[in-house]
Amino acid sequence: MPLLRDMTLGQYYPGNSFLHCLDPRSKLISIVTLMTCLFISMEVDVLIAGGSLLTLGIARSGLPAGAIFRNLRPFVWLFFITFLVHALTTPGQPLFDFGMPVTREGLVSGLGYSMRLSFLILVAALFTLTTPPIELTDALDKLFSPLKRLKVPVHELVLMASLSLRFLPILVNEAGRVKNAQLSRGATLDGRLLARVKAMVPMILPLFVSAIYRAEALALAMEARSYTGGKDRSSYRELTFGRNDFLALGCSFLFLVFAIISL
Amino acid sequence: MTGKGVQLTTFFVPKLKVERPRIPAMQIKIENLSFSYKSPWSAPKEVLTNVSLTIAAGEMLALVGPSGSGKTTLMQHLTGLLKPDTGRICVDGQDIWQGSSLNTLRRRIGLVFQFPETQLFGETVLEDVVFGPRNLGLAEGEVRERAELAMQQVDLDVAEVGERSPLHLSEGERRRVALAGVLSMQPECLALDEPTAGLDAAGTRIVLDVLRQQHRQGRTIILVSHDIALVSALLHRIVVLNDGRVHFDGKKEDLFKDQAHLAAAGIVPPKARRIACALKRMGLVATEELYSFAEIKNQLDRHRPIAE
Ligand SMILES: Nc1ncnc2c1ncn2[C@@H]1O[C@H](COP(=O)(O)OP(=O)(O)OP(=O)(O)O)[C@@H](O)[C@H]1O
Ligand SMILES: [Mg+2]
Repeated sequence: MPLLRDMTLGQYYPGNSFLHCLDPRSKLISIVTLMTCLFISMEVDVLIAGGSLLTLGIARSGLPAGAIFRNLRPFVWLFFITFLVHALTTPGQPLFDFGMPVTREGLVSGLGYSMRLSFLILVAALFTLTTPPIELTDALDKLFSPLKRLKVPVHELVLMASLSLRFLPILVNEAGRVKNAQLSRGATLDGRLLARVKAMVPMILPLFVSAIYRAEALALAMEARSYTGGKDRSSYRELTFGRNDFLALGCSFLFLVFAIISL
Repeated sequence: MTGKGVQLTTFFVPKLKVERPRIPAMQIKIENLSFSYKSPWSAPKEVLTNVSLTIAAGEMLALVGPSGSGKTTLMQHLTGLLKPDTGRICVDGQDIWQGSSLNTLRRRIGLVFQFPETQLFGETVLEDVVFGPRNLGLAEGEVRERAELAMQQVDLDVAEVGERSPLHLSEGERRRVALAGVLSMQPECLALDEPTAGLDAAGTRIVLDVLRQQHRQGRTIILVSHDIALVSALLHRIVVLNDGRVHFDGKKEDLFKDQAHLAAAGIVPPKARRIACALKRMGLVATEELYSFAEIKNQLDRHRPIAE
């Protein structure tokens, strides 16, 4: 499972850096703002500014570079294809010709899009690595709480999302165990793609089954501790806004303005 | 093989070769193996350090050691599920990472994982048990035969549980299904990681009986266990792993003689032996090398004063 092994999304890397200490709400808002900017604006300036902010974030996060950058690995093909499609299909000044002309504009825009994609993934990774799932849950819960007035089950939805995140590594682990068990009993997992896909089937099925059993056990355990939904639930940790939170929000707001102006 | 072929071979081959069960000739040699788990989160920490071990064909030995000492990690190296950082593992003189396929090796060494009941993947019990023999490419009749034999060995009734889902069995029953899944492949060597952990007395007995029987048939048995009393009652050679190093490798008698050694590895001698020591000091038995209450009783009976 190389893909799942490289995905550290959803895993928390403990620390007490600037990013770790931010209030999850301001962190979430800043990150969403940053992502939005990277999405809406095609300008090189915005890309550079976003890249610098990201670099700053990574540098101040206290995380080993490997932990962040390995998240890119599963997406290498995506970058490559994005790059290729842009390089081949953008009209402009032709540079080479492989049956289809590769244009200068195409290269630039392909590179831009690949970078934008990788920035988005890195931003997301940076967020999940520095935010424990429980803080993410709290932040989402608080930020969307106005929707509760409209009878949207915010708390339950957020809980579901955070549980799925929490279970991802467990499932990956389980997949590894079943794979080892099958290998040990003479299964061959290499060979052609089709054979490999076929060999996956008996593995995926028990994974689903065991996931369902796990979910059932979890529901039981929660009920046994008298868990009831969000209303009137207090939390152990109260979220507090600090100076750094205003700084982060200010920065991202400025960046948003900059991105909009440069449109 | 056709009927004719069998007759011919019986005719030409000396009698000796015909009736005996297949004699495994598998020697496993671990040489200076070191290994650490790689993780993006932290610097690699060595889990196994310079481990060397030779396991002769048909030998039965126990691997003990405190939790986290690397027993499971070492077992996973045996069948090439993990690759050593340095050092090598040779089976019959051939490095397992060079030349012949790991798949062949895995058919020869049956690995029973720690808590294997969490790794059942068949829809029914029978389907799980036949997974191995099917991979061996045997005829359907033989596959079925082996599966039934294996289930019988672990005291599971094919008619009763064969068609049930493994998920609806008790943990102890599932453990036995997992064991049957490996037994049905009839490997030359069995490597078992804590096969009796968490089992009741009857379940433990079943597993031990299987191990004894498999050993008698000539298979190599490598048994990982926390239960020093259990292994010392069962076999002679004990390897103690501590903090990823081979702390002791030899006869159990030598292990229990060396108190300093024992304390360092956190091993408490089995109750039976401690009682035997006390009895010997009282002059009631001749030796302290007694590893079960049955042996103590035997000795006491033998030494009981005739006057009584
Ligand atoms: N997948 C893994 N990734 C990283 N570290 C691991 C992994 N598996 C085990 N370890 C570490 O390796 C060391 C040895 O683990 P191992 O499972 O081999 O111990 P063990 O002797 O089998 O223990 P136990 O008796 O509890 O089963 C432990 O310190 C453990 O934390
Ligand atoms: Mg273990």
